[in-house]
Amino acid sequence: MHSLDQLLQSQPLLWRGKQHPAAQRTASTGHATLDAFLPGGGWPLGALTELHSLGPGSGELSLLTPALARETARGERVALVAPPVPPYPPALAAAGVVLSQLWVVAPQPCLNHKNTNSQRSKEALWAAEQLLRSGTFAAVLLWLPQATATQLRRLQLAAETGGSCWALAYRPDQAAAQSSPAALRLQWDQTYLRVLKCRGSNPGELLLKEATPPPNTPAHHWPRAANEQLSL
Amino acid sequence: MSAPPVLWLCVGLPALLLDSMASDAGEQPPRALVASRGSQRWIHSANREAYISGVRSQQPVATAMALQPDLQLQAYCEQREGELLQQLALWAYRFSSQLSLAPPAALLLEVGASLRLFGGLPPLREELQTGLDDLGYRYRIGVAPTPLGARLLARLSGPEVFDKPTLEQALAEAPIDTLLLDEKTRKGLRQAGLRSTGQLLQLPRDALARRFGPKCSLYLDRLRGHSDDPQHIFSPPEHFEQRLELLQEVENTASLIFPLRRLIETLAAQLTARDCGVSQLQLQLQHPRSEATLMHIRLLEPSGNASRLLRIARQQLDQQQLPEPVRALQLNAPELLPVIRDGGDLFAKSGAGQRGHQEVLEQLAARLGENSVHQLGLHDDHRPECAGVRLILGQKNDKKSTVSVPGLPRPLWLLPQPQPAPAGLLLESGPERLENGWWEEPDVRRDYYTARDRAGLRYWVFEHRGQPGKLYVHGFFG
Repeated sequence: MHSLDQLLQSQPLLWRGKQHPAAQRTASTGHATLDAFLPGGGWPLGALTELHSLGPGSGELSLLTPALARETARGERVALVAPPVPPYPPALAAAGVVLSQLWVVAPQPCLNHKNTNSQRSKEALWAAEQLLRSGTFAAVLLWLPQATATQLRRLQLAAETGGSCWALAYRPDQAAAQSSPAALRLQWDQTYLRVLKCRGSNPGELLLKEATPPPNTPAHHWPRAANEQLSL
Repeated sequence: MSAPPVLWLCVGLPALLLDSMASDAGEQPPRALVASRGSQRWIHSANREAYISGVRSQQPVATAMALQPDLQLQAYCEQREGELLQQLALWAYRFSSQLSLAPPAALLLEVGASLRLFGGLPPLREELQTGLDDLGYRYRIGVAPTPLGARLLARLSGPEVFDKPTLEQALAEAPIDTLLLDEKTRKGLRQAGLRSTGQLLQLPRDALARRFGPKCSLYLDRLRGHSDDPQHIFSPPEHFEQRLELLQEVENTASLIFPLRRLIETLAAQLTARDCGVSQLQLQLQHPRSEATLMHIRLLEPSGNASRLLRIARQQLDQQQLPEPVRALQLNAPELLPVIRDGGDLFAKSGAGQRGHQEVLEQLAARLGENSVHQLGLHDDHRPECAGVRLILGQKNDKKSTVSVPGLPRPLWLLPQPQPAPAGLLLESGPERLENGWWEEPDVRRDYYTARDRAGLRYWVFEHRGQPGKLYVHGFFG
């Protein structure tokens, strides 16, 4: 019985209901409220986190920049895999990210494949897996327009093998309804951060920003609403 | 510590080219190389089987054929022999870095400085001889304090000589014909009744110089070490280029791995000899008809490790489509660079057996394309599209990175090409006017705003000055 227990413990594949949540190592997010909200007190290490968002422009990357800035300042390496748009160095530097510690892996768009989205995802998954398994990167962020549960499981396993790497996958908002083997699943809609799934804790919701004024009132110093101009 | 005494070791290779042609199969046919000038043809070198039947070098071909009717003749090629000597010099570089080529077929190694490393001359000589035996070359070795003395003793298979007085004694018996003097001088000396070098050395120096010219007396001075004999020191080539003809045409990339391994191992041997590495390689796959397929293999830092180079090359080869069967491989390394030996981080997070980050990134670049793995850098320019640079693997940011980061909002994502804005955007703040000089390309005169769409996504948009109302999206506030 004892040896069976040990055998089961050694398998990263197995997740057990009674697993102690404190066993999960985490890294601070850089936001005090977010740290207090997230189970374990930060981004989980050695496990996959999913972040569902509307896409570029939703403030999805600035949610992570404090942690990226801290890791790169400590001399750790971070990688962005298959970002949807090229990241802009001055803005990253302004957020405190040390650029010499940051690598971007952007698989070239392949024209002879019909389904470029799935091809891109495949290459991003492969690249992220290599980076995670190497254990030489403190954080691997990847963008996955499409992924099957099996692919996500491989990624989760790679994150576990890599040791203390912070693995985070950006996924489209629509994929939030699908099931996923990720250790932590979050949904972000510019103001609220929702926990969809979390090992050893319950789902919840957190208001991160004060609600911005409703976007239908033009800024006071701006004489015209742009949509009026555009509708001409 | 005083400098070690100078000691030259000469490896004479009388049949370098012929020995390189011998196959591994035990029984060899009698074979000889033929040198020719005009209509004259004579035996340049003969293998052991031919030697037994009486074939000697300098013999006319007709005589040799009469002695051994089964003799296989091949033409002697001086250029090919020179190449072989270069290759052998690379191999011998491990015994001494003070090495010079002594054509037609001899290597001169200054071994005085290497004796401490090898623990004396006998161990060094033994290792050298074992190596030459393995390569299958016949050789003669001479050791003397002067380069010419070593060469002469190698020709005579004479004793090892460590100082100049002993050298003079050893030379005394050497026949005049073995000296490296031109034929006319040797004939003159013979006609003067001289037979041995000892007799020659007893003659007054001035008289010799008058009778046989300054060349002869300079040779004798250098032979004895009375005057300096500067050597042209061999330096291994600064680049690598080798072609490998395949025995048969190969249609799939998997079968190219084996010949590629041979090329890369040869390269790695040269890199080890020079204590160098390569950071980029060019592999040409040559086809019978169509143009050669060119592959660029890039590394993050110079490496001379054969298995690492092979792994990366293989990764890339797997992705390669072959338009036609491959006939030959050519591997070029345009630049050999010093290897940075940092020994890795002692307290690195990675456990034993895990590969360093460079290797992982190289692997990614090999499979996804060399431009797909990059770093980011800053550039002093207020035009948004010019303020950031992409640095591909191994490239350093040579542009100024002392950029003052503006306090104004900048998006985390920037589109490479601005796109027409979608309808229904609401402008939040701005304008921020960005302009450059009319002499710069691209010409930028724009008013930037931050904007928000109905779903709440935030954009960085601009309108061209002079064309109000037409908005373009340039970035996203991620």
